[in-house]
Amino acid sequence: MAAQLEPLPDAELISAAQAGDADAFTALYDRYVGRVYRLISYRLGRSADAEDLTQQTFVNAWQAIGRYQPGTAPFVAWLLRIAHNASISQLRATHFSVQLNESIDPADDGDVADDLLSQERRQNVLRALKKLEGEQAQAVWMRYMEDLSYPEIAGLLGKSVENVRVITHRGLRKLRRYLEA
Amino acid sequence: MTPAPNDLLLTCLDDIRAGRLTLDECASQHPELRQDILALATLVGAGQDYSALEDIDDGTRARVRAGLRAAMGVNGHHPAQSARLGRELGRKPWLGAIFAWPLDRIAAVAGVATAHGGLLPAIGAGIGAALAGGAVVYAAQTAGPESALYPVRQAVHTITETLAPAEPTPPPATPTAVPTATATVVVVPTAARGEDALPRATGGSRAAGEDDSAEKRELDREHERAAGLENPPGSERRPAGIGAERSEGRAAAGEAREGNRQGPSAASSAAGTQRDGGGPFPGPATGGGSDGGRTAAATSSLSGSHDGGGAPGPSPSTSGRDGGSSPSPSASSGSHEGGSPSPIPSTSGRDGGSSPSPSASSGSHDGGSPSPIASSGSRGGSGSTTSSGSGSGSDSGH
Repeated sequence: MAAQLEPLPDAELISAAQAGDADAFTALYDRYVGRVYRLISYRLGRSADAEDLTQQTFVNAWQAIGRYQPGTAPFVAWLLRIAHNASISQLRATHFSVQLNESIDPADDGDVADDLLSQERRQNVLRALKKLEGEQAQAVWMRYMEDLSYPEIAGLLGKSVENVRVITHRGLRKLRRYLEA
Repeated sequence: MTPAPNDLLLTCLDDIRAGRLTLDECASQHPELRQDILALATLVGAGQDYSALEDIDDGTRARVRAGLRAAMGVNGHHPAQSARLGRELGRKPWLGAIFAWPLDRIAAVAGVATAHGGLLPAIGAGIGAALAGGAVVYAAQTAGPESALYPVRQAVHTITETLAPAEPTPPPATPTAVPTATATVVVVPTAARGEDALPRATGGSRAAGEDDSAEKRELDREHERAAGLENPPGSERRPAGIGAERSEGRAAAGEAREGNRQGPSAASSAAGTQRDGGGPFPGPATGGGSDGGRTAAATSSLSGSHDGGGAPGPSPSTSGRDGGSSPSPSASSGSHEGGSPSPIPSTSGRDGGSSPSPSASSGSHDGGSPSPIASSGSRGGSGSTTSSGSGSGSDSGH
């Protein structure tokens, strides 16, 4: 069943899922679980928590899919926002400390020095990103990590594009201070 | 148009991410943003690293998928039903109230009752009695006098009235009349208080179409004297002529129940009390306060207003719930929240302040309506008549 649904566009799968079709939602899961898991694992670290939280993100999405409005933002952006919020909640609940060495697999054939630099850089950025709050954190993350466009972020946050640019810029200013601190 | 620094920084970072510009090129093009660009370059690099992360492995994907399917199946969740239910709950609050019941507590109580076998019959009996009582009350709603349930209906009615808050009752749709100086009776329904600009008299229900002639008043007094019912000085006397709904024990023409130290009236005609009524009237009118109203009016009429009318009028009016005095040939008093703008200075009661005025409006709780006529006895509107008399309150009489 899932294989038959796989080629369908998002809109049809979403519509079917909103009508209660679990298979359609599973097809959406197959399509986007990678990005959701990546976000969560990046923020939490590779652990059983990331796996559980990924599952919980999709369960939450399934329960809330009736409220998703296709015209506002891409479905993946909506999913990533749920994942983002879930990871924040998880971090707050467990005071999770990122174990970056465990969380990110370095490139298999990369140079060790580059790996260490990359890890250090990511660690600093992640630490700074985690200090951002609210819409600034989401806007910066969606733009520079998830590579969403400004209109997509605007639809996700329910803001105008110009407003999202302002929010992003303010977030970047804060992020710079955090990186230099 | 030169782009704002916000856009410059964002555009520069986007160009670096897209590979259109290098870090140095962008920094050299925008030296003022160099520090920002260099600092945030790590973000761009982190984003690129993030994009290069491995995808979820198949084992994890399968485990999460199985867990998701199990959760969806166990929960039995149907998002469309949930959405419909949400909309339904939005339309029908009572349905939401049902769902808001603390089912867990109910279950706990049921569990306790089950554990203690003696409680279960008692709870069942209580619920049954409540249901049966509700059914009887419901059936009695339409019971006629001949029905066996009619006493139940009467009892429910009595309880309902007893428990009901003591809100001021709306004014009856009975016409009111207030005597004018020329004994002209104006009859206007009070139902149109405050909204109409028609001249209308202030007065109680007793005033409807009632002749307020001096002869009749005098006749009444004689009857009272004969019956020994005349009030002693300083006490309330039911206004003759136009009465008030609350005139019993309330406003009286030229006298106050507990003393009317002020308020000598040259002529006194009692305008009846109207609780909510009143309307703009041309002509001298007096609103008489129910609880007070120290007024001195050379020419004033009394309308025993409880909640006050307070339409300004060119005529002396005296009214007021809580009193207030007006050193004016005509005074009005007893306005709770002031009267209304008047072409004539008026003195109003407790909250209304006072103004030296040849005419006064009073007795307004919420203000009256602009009127060239004094009025009384109106909460929101105003009522006035052309009447004369000495305003007096029944209670204060300071």
